[in-house]
Amino acid sequence: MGEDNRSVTPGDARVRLRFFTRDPTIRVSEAPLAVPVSLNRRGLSEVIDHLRGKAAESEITRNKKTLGGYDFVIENQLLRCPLEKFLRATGISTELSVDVEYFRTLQAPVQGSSSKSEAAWVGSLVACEGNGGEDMVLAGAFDGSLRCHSARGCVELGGRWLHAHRGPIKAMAVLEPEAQEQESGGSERGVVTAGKDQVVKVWQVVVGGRGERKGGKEAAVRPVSTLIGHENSVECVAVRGKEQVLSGDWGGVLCVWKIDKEERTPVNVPSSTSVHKRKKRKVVEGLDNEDVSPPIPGIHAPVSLFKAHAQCVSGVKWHPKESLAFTSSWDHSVKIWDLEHQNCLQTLNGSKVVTSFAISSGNLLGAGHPDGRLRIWDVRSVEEKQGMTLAAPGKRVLASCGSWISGVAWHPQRDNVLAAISHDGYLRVWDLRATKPLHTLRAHEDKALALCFGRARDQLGMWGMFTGGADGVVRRFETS
Amino acid sequence: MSPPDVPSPIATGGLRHPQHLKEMAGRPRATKLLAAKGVPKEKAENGRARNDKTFPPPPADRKEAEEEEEEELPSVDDESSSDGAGTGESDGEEMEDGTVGESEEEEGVADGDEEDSVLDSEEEEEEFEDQGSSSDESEVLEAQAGASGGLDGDTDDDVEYLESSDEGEIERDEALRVEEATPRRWQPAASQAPLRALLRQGIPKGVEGTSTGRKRAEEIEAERASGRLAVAAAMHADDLSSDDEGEGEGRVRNAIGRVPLHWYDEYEHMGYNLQGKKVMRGRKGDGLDAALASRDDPNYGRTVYDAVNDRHVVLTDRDLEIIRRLQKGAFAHPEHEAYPPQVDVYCDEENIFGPSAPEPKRRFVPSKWELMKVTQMVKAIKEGRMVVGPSPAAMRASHKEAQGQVYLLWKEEEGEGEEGRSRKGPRHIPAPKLPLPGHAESYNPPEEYLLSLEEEQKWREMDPEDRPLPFLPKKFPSLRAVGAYAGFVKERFERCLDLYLCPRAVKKSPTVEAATLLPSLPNPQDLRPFPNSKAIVYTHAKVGTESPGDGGRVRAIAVSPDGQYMASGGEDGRVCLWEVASGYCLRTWELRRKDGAEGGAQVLGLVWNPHRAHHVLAVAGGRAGVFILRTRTGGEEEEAMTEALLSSGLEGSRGGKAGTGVVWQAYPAGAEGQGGGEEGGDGLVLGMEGGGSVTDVRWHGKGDYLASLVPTAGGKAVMIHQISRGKTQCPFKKTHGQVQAVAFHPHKPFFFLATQTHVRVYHLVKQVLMKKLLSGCKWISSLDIHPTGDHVLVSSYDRRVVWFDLDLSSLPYRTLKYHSKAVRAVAFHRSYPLMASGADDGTVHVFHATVYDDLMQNPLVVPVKILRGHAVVGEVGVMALAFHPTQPWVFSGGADGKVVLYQDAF
Repeated sequence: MGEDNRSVTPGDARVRLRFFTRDPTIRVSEAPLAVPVSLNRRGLSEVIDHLRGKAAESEITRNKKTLGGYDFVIENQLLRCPLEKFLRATGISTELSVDVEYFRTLQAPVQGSSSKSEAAWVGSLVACEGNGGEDMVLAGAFDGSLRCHSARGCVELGGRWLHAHRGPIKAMAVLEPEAQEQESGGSERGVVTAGKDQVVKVWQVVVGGRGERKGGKEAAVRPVSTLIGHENSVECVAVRGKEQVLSGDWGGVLCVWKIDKEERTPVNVPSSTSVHKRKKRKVVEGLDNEDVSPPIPGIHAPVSLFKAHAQCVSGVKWHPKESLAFTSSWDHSVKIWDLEHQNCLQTLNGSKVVTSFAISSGNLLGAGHPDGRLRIWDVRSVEEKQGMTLAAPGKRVLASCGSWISGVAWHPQRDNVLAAISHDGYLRVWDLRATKPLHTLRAHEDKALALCFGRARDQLGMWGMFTGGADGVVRRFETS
Repeated sequence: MSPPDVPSPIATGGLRHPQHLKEMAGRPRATKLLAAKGVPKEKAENGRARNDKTFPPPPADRKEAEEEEEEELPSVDDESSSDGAGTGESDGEEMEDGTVGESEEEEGVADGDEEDSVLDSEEEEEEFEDQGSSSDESEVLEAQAGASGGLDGDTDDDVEYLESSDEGEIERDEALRVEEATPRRWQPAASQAPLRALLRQGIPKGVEGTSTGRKRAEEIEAERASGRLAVAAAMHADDLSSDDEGEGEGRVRNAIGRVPLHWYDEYEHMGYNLQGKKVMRGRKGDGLDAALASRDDPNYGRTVYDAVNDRHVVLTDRDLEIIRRLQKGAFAHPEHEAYPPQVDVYCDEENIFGPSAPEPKRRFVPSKWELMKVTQMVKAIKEGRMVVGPSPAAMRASHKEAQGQVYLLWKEEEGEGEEGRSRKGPRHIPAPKLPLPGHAESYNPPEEYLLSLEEEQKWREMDPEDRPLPFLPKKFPSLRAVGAYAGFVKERFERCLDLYLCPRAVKKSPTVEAATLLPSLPNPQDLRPFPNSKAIVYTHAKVGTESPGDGGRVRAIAVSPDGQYMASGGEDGRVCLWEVASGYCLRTWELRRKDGAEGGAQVLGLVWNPHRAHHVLAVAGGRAGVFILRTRTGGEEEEAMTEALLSSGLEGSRGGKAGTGVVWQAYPAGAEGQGGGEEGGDGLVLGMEGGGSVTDVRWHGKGDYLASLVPTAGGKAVMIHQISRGKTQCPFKKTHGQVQAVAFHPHKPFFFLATQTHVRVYHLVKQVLMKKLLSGCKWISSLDIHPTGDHVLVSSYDRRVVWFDLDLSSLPYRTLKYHSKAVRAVAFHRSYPLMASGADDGTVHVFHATVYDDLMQNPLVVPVKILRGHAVVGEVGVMALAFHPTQPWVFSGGADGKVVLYQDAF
């Protein structure tokens, strides 16, 4: 077109593009548009803005900064180079119009607040809703203490948080809140922690609420019950709903728990599937003289217990379907279990230890390995039929993260975005459709050991990302 | 029938034998008969001119002539023979004169024919054979010669023959005279007339059968079929031979030589012979003689005068036939097949392509004939008629082999020599060359080559065989001053002895290529996984103690059996317990000597109890003794078991005697660590009395027995403690050299003891020395046993890593010299086929070491990776090495106070 002279050099080839998006706020007409082939992402973003017209201008004026444009995906690959090069490299036919999906760029996570507790390595993080809907993060440290952090900083906790476990806390998970709690104005969340002392503990975290509890502290932690059944250090824990808990330990044993809120006295619950002989024992709490210890909370035995892997179970996640779970292990495999029958439905075999993994809402599983590589598995949904038919899982290896990956988390909304932290202290945000990470940020000086996403969007519609590391710092990042 | 010894008239050239004359007496004259029949007239009517030379006579004539002849046969027999004789001669005369009338000629000819035919019909064969024989001609010539006047000796026979028949004699004389009178032209055409007539009529029947063409042809064919013609051809091979050839009397003699005959036309003699004598002509008959001969002589028609040889030649029937055929233009010899029966070269298969016919299918398809043969053979085998087996020759050969092979005694080895060498003989091996003369042999050598007096003395005293030179080098001013060499003959003799007495063999120097020396090892890429990159660094040394003097060096590493924890011990007496995955130091022990902090303890050895339920760490604490520390890493039950173990040990040690000088004590609780206040203390400490420093500890596979090593303690260097019972024993009374390392066998009751140069293997139950492995190293530093228990790895300070295969031999299976500095530690992986060695150059060498189950294959050792993760501090690099039990990872501890975990990142 000879009209647009400023951005078009004479003799520039054009290609017909058809823009579509899933985001209704940035939708433009889907009529094909002839676009010069030499444009890259920025140029195409300008085109979209131009097409959007006034809506874009108003956005820009509102935010007082350019939004950084859009991301374009052609044939399931992110556009990261000029169109011409991209089309030539991928070999896409340009006879008819090329479908281009676009969406708002995932913004670089901007570092928000960071709070440092004592120099204790932060081993695990879990986010729960805090006061006023903002995110609050519970950090379990390697010295066995539970701490609480919010956007403002470290939140003082009341209750027995210093010696929550006798060994490092390796994993934490948050139970769903009960409806009645919201009435009191505060929020009570159940938190499950697992540590190297071979016990899994359930806590009640009360944040805010009418009146101050426990000496004016903003939040309080109260032990609810102890789950005893493991013979080795518990490495991972996962919860579903309010009562179902899964935990895996270093011996490869997977325990399924069901926790009730009521306190009970220890009951000798025989479990037929227990691997080792159990002894009734009282749990001796840490000798902390700060608070007078309340009566010994209930001890729960596992509902079922079986040896899932030959080596350490490094990660466990509930499957969207009931009674199915994913477990990853140091024996280089990820398995899908039918917990009722203790049957392994599928095994995804790799060649490296799986240190952590995360599942997207779709069928993707991202596993992190000590060699710094993220391996993405495509696991189809399990059909409930007689004789499970499962598609062969495909695998993609992303370029390395540099060093030992200690945490993987999938973006709550975007199916193709996941974040990973590694021992070199960097946080990397990946898009599956690109071969390089979208963003690389230095999160910690030392090793980064824990990662989690916030529960909900904040006012700006941004998601919060929390990372904890060996330097004892919990950092918050914001991303769209 | 004439008797066989009577020659036929034809053979005698027309001269009749008295016998023949008698036979002919009763026969009418042929001419008359013929005249009566009117044969000549008919012939005249046919219009044949006298000079008509055209032959053959028209078929009508021939037929008639044949018919006439056939008819005349019986009548001819009745006629007298005397007329025939006369006519023959008259014919001859007529021929020569050329004045005889045609009728006479014809008559004469006819008569002659008839008579001859009559006579000869009975004796065809003999006459046929007799024709052309030299003897006949010689007789004729002799007769002629006799008649001419005694040129040659007269034969009585001829004379008698001639005298017996008066007519014949007269006629003969006339014939001779006629011969003289003839003009001296050879075979004038006129004189040929009677001959021509004869030939025109064909060969007389009586002579060779039928005279005329067709019948003759039939007869010839009949003879050909019967094979007689071939015989005849052979007989008449010398038909064409010239008159000059032949032997004896057959040869025609022309005594006058090669002179033109017309020189002597006027004379009576023909010429002169060699002797100079005149050669007289024979009597020539005049015209009357000729006329008479033409009537009487049956052969007149066929007599030809040979002026050169002065003779009358009577042509034989065969000659006539030949002449006739030549004149006809046919081939001369009757037996020659001018037109042999056409044999069509044809075959019943019609091939329209000729040579370019397409190839038949049978050339490409399995042979039908072979199939047929094979089926026949198969049938024969099935029926038993044929026996299948090796051929008789093969059976003989195998039998011979079974009996005993015969070998070529001096056969060359295979691969040596060319093929067919044995036929030519052994390979020529050249004689060893004598060294060329050097300076010492010179007549005026440089001074340095001359021997001094002492050297000379020595030379003389030496054995002649030992002498470097067989002579004394001498210096002469000039060449002419050089005397004779006394040892010349002996030297040459020695050389000759060398040459023919000493057996020579070709020295086979193996061609060694550099590529063949290098072993073909598999690619490291194929031998994954193996650790290749740094993963986690655990800083053992406290901050500020990295320099060598502060004792921050990591001396020992131990990994828990499940791979969750790693313990590191340093020279500062600290033992750190790390979590492998995160690198978090869970716990630290500061080991102290029980009698106060005299420099603390030094952790020189560290080993985790292999029993999964015993969460116990054994520490070789130098002078502080052996520490058995509770790691508190187990569950409740396991912790209880551990506690029970240690307490029972403590109790047991109190009860027992203390002969070994080992004091068992509880290690005090309250050491630095997290979650303080453990119950039951931290463990045990075994104090060694004697002041020796414990450098090494090793657990037994079951986790109960512990071996400790105090190198300086002499007989009490090696002690084995039983933790559950608290007992200590010294199994060795004395040690052969300073002990460097000890180890238990993984599952057998063997004990390995490494001194500085060798490794001794003891059987603990039998209490005997089982094996002594000679390493070839000067100073062994450490020792490790393969999980299977059959292989031992030894590292030494002289840069060597030695692999022993206990099943193979006591000598090293492999000696690996890859390090440039002293090797301090070696280790095997428990499950992966890996092996590592750490040296003072700060590197860890990782090898792939596959051990095969079958005893036939030796272990494969392939260097795979060099890991550089440590800094060399004080010329000391890697001091401790340990593999992760389950993953292909390796921990190395160095003098820089760090423990590095290497992982397999591919």
